[in-house]
Amino acid sequence: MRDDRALRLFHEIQSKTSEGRMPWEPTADENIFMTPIKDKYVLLIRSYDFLDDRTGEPMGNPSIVFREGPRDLVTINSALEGATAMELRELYANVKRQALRIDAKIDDALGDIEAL
Amino acid sequence: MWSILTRHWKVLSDVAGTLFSLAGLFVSALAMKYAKSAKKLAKEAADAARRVAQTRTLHEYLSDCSRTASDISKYIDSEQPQMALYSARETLRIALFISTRWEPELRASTKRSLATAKAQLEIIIDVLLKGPVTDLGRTAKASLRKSAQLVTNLFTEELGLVTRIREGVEDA
Repeated sequence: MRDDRALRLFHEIQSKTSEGRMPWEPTADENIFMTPIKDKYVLLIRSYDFLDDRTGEPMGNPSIVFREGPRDLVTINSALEGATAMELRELYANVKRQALRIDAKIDDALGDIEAL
Repeated sequence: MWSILTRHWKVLSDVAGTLFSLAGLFVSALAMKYAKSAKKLAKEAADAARRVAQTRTLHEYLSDCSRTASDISKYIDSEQPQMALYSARETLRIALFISTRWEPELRASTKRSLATAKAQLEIIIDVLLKGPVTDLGRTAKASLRKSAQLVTNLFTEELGLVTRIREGVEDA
């Protein structure tokens, strides 16, 4: 599926996340992280693409949802031409690390361990 | 003296008339100036009263949101998922109302906070609808609790802001 705007959005999210400039936050779902955009949109990144109809289990590669209020405007997944599954997995891992402040927590623990 | 007056009464009356007209013009100009100032002051007073009424009502709604949001954590901890769900839905309903009702007057930072809170609440609701809270693992329950706390903090901050505006400590 070709969508140049969605692809551009994806690349901007990748780039800004790598630079640590997107304020990703955890949500009530351990598999979903979010960041507000302007004053009316949110970006959600989740570890899956869809939920199985029968079992409700998360399926597929990570995906990004661009949402306004209760409405999903665009979903970016590996079906988007130019966005690979590996890039989406790497982005999700990076977002999770930032949202959960893993680096800061490791540094904090290292400080104590090194002082032993 | 009387003869001077009788000889030149026309000139004297013209001068007196002109002087009285000038005085009248001066008084009219002063009256107009004060009337404009009074009108401006009255308008400012009316605007201030309207702002107070609106911020008081927004204050009440934000206070409700803060309260119902804090109830979510309480019900999660006491394993009452239906009540947690009710609180989450009620908080979302009020947040949506606030966004729509006061949209033109809200600061960009407040709109952003509301967008974040609403998105977090929608996910809280999805998680609560998936299954009983008792079925959630320790980390999943912690995520739910943390998200509910984040929403509570957002509304508490906005409530603080509106309180400061209402008390004149901060500009609208």
